[in-house]
Amino acid sequence: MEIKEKMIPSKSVYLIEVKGELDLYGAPDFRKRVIDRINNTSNKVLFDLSGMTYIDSSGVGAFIKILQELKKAGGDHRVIHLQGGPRQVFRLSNIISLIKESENKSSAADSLGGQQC
Amino acid sequence: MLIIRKLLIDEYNELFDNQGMKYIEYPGDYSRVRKFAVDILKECPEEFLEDNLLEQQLSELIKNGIKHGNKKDSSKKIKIWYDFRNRARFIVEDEGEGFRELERWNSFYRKRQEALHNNDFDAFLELASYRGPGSDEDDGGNSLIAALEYWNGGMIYNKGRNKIGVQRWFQGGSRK
Repeated sequence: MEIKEKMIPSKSVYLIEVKGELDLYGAPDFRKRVIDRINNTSNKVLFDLSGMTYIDSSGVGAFIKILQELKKAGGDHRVIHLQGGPRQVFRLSNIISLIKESENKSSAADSLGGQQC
Repeated sequence: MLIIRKLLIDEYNELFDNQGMKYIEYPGDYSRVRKFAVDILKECPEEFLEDNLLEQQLSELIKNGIKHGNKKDSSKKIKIWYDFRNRARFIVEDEGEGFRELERWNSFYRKRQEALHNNDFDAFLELASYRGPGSDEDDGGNSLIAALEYWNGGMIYNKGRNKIGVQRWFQGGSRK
């Protein structure tokens, strides 16, 4: 798994691109890293999952924990390009309703950036 | 519609009939959970793999056995029976003390589904992952939720709660 991250300064949005397999071995570090950014960088988070090829219950659990932390921090999130097998796993885990999806990066950043978090 | 599934115990369920099934056993090596699943699925018809969903679900069963059952004790084995004729069937047995929290989990799942049904998203977010006495912070807490959905031909625990039988049917089946 590879994580690329950057700020979109004009929107104060923290962009995270997840690439590869978010599984039981990589999920704990992913969770800790994103929660650290939420608490220290920005509580507006945009996940680009276009490169994510696999996720398991540990990865889904990491997302749930991140969403719980975002709520505590008064923040918000958007997800783009949740597709293929990973989308099926989110659906089977019955947490799709917690995921706020946007069509693309700019519309996601706009909807997050327009909010006062 | 409110749908509440349950984890069930049935020692004599047909899902535990291992006649004609292939068998393999592995050491309780947590670092090789996914490798074990991939190895078994080398014999699986491609149409059953479904975007790696089968590998993911089999990995969860093996992970639960090695982590929660065998407590990552590498001297304890994980035993797996499998069969890919017309559908995917597995029996996975560990050497642990069994899933003592089964009733607690069923109670958790009922509350979770009720929160979702009532559109109470704050409660649902809090209940999204199961947390019990045996959980640690790295547990996803949702593998059994997906498993109950995925194994559409049944998912049953034995009386000792250390063995699980699962089955999934596929559209069109397979002649292999």
